[in-house]
Amino acid sequence: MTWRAVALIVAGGVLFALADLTRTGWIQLADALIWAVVVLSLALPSLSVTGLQVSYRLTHRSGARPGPVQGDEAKFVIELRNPWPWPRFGLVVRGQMLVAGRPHQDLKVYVPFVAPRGRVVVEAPVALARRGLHAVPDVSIETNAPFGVFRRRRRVAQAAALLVYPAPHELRPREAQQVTAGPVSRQTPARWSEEMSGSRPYVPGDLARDIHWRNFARTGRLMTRSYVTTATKRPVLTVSAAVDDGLVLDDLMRLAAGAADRWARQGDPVMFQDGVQALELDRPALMRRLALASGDTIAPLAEALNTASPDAAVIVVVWSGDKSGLASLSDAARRFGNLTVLLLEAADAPAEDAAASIARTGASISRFTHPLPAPARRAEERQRAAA
Amino acid sequence: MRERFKALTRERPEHSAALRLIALAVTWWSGLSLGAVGAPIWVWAGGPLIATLGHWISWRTRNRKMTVVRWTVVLTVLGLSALMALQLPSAWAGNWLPAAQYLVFVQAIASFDLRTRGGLYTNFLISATVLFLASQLAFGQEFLLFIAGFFVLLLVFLATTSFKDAVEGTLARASWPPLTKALSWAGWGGAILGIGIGLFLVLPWGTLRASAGADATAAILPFTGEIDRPASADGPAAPADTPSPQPPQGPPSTGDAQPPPAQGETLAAGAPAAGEGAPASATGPIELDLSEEQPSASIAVSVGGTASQASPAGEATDLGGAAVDLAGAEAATGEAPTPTGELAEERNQAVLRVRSPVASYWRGQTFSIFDGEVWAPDGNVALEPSVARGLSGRYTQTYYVVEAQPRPLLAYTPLDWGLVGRKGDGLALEARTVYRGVSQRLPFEANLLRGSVGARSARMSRDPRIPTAVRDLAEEIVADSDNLFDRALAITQYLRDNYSFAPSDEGQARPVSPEAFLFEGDGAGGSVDFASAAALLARAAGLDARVASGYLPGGFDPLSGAYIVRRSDAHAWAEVRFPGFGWVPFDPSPRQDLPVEVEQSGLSARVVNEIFQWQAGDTISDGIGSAFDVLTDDLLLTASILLGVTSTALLAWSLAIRRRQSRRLRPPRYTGLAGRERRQIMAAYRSLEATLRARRIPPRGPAETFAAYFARVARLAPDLETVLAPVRAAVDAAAYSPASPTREDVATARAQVRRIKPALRRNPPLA
Repeated sequence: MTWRAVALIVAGGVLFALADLTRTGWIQLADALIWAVVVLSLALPSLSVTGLQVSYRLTHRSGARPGPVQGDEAKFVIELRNPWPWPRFGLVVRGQMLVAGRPHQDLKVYVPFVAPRGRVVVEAPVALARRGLHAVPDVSIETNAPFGVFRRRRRVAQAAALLVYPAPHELRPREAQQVTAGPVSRQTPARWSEEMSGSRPYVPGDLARDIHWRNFARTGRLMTRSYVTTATKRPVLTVSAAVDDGLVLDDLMRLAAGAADRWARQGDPVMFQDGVQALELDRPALMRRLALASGDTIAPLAEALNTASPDAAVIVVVWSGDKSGLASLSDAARRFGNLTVLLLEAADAPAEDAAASIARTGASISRFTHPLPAPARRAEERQRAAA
Repeated sequence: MRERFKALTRERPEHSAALRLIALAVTWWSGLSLGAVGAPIWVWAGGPLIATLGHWISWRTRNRKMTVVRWTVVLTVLGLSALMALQLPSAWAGNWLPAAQYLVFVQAIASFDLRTRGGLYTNFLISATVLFLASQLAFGQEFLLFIAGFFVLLLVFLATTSFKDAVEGTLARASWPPLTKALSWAGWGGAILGIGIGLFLVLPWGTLRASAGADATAAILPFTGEIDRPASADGPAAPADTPSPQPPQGPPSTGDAQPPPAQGETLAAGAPAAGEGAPASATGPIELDLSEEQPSASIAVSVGGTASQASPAGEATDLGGAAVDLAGAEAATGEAPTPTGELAEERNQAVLRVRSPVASYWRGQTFSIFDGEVWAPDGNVALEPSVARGLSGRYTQTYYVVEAQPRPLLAYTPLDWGLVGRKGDGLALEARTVYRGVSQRLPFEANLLRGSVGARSARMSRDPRIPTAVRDLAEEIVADSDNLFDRALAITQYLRDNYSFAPSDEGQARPVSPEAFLFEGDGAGGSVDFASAAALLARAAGLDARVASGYLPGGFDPLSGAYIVRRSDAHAWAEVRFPGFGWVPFDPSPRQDLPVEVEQSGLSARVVNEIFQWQAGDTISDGIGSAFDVLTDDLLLTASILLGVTSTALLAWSLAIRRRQSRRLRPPRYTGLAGRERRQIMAAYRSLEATLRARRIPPRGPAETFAAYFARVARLAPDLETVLAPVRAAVDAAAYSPASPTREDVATARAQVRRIKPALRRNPPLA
């Protein structure tokens, strides 16, 4: 029952009294019509909702990619089947999309009419702005058609989930070089002493000095040198997840994914340090880890750094507000020969002190501003939009 | 709570131009309805015009805070209310036009600060009130158009707001083919109309009136003398006993006209009265005047001895000094040849519409002066002083003049009258005039009237203009009566028993004076003959009596709630003044269409009556036959029964479906499991499921395993995982494990379930 129903019933009662006392036929007729609206409004919502078969899902066209990433668009698909021989009217399907178990976005779809024994499928676009498990645990289907007097609601629970990977933040060439080679301030880049393994096609962000000009001349395609990396130089990626703000954590994971992508372009898998052990993961597995990472699944930074091998080239992604994480970095810089810090700081509060202290330790540092630029839309989305 | 209150009172501007236009349309519609019932143009057009300007301004400024405008509106409305307070007594007396005008301007002024949905609702409410007030002043069937229009606008408004709210914030919406949409709306409209008409027919109208002491068939009717015959609730009285066709050759015996004591008790209830009637003079001109203003359907009395007035109905009777014309009214009683064609149409022509809570004879003219031949009319409207205590004994009537009237007609016992919506001079009323009457209900009960203290008026009985034969006859009639009321009743009864009612027939000789009617004619006469004879006999018997003319109550029109008074209802009767009661009507005419009680019952009462009639049948076949007759005779009854049966079947069907759905969703009870411990654990699980369901976590679905259910719960309530884990293990074991669980398992499961509620209070589920 809605407030409107209460008002209409009260109006019907008052009008009944007035019509009865004044014995005016057309007032009686108007009162009877008001009661007819009440009766119809009482019956129609129940007839519209009862017995309706509802199913829904979250879908995404990933193409060749393992799954959707931040910035993509998914579809909330709802299907209504009417098994009965009467029509259904004015159905509103409401749900809430949870990200990591927390409310993220309200979903609302309006279906004005479902024919007798008919079927209606509605696709609602959903922007995947966050990474993580997007789930719609249940939806409610309700109607108060046609006059909004009485409302009938039914809940439908069904598993509908979609894992969204973090969108890798595209590192600038200097940042990419730091990630893959350590501090640029060093006089002798470590790579020079390494054995060159061959060449690969150029990708944006590769250093100009790594371009293999001879092969370029031979093939006509821009090529980049690739090197043999020793086991001790295997990069270890660790993220400080001790952050309350989910959006900051998302950006940290985007940075981590961007760094991992940089290494992956060189053909080197990244070891992911979650605090217990350094896991060698392929890209989908790593992205899955980053998508589901939270303060509960990743150990504090100090613990992760303690368990990492001292010979490793460690890449740390840390938030400027994470004081304990920043403190643990000064100790880590002494232990690790090759430490790269990707520092995420708030746009309105640059962490100059934190950056200076990290720089003093000799670690390589790249600074990023939260929020990071929105992830670029995928090519296929652009094409689809153009179409 | 505070936040909720703030959210409730927070202004949210309404951005829908469509809703605004609908609200403006309903403002104009209610204004037009007011115009249709006689409001001046500056009200019915001026108000909506101002409202239009106000709507435009408030639409343009809907996002701005207009403090100055708001306070100006508030102060203006308060000022209007102060002015309106002066009109309250008038409104209380039944003249609702000033109240409607006030509301129109309040609505117009308020529209300058009308920016929210609530404001639009208020706009509708005020328009509905204006329409209701207008409906109390409307009589024509065309007013139904305003009711229908308002209802359509209301439904459009409700549907539009409902649709707007439904689509607001949607990510996507499905299409609705135009043809299907049109068919759906047509179906809904038809359903509302069908259900509405069905409800209109079966709703118990009259319940409140009956409970408030105002009987649905309340009426103030004259004493007729036929007090032996019980009142019928089915409409007109049974045919009166027609006296012998032989003219009386002298005063007949009155031995068979003893007045039983019960008639008046069913007619009126009210405060005791002590009114003074108009003076009944025995001197002055002895002529009945028939002026040109006299309507054809009232008593027409001519000046001089030669006047003969032709009515529109073509009926005129020369009374040899008093021309009496009832315009064919009495010809419709069945004793005259049935009128046909134009004549019948003219007789059925409505002359007056009256909305009154009480049916009454509508009295227009009184005649107090008798010159030995005819009665002369009184000059002014015969009003009487108020004797009712407070307002409880009063009732108002609203009259709509269809045919011009020389003077207002009023119900018993009239206190005051006035024009509605305009001012006028004199008594004459033009067609389409609306006027109101205020009357009081006096207790015209036989027992009370018998006890009325009043000496026999020697002055009346000694009047030399009363013929001796009349005096002798009167004395014989009232010889056995020892009080005023019984004397009047005896005279009434005498006339009804010994004379026949003969509506004016052209070419037929008629008595020309009371004396001639009583002694010389063929014993047949019209209502004027009976009334004048009764009044004269009453005066001869020492009573203060006079003749009154006007109309019978007429037919009740259930749609407009008004009595439709036609030319054929024109009538005359006698009045006798009782000290403390004023003028009490007595009707000696044995007309067949005199109302005994006015039927005002709705279809519901008729249905109940019909049911009782079915039960009265001796056999089943009789019952079925009478039921069939009723159904075939009364289409409305048939339609309402069909509608009722269909509605009941639909309701039962929907309830059955709902019951089946709920049965399907009812959780299993696990009572078939072997082993007491298993059942105890599952009972604990059911308790857990109910607790979680109360926290909006849906119960385990039919195809959902326990593991899936617990996983879903853990997803929605992550903090419960530690509490739930032992329960889950126990339930798994109880449901699936071949080994029976132990009592310790049961205790553990129960303990964990008990911890759920406090845990949920600390950490409520996510959504």
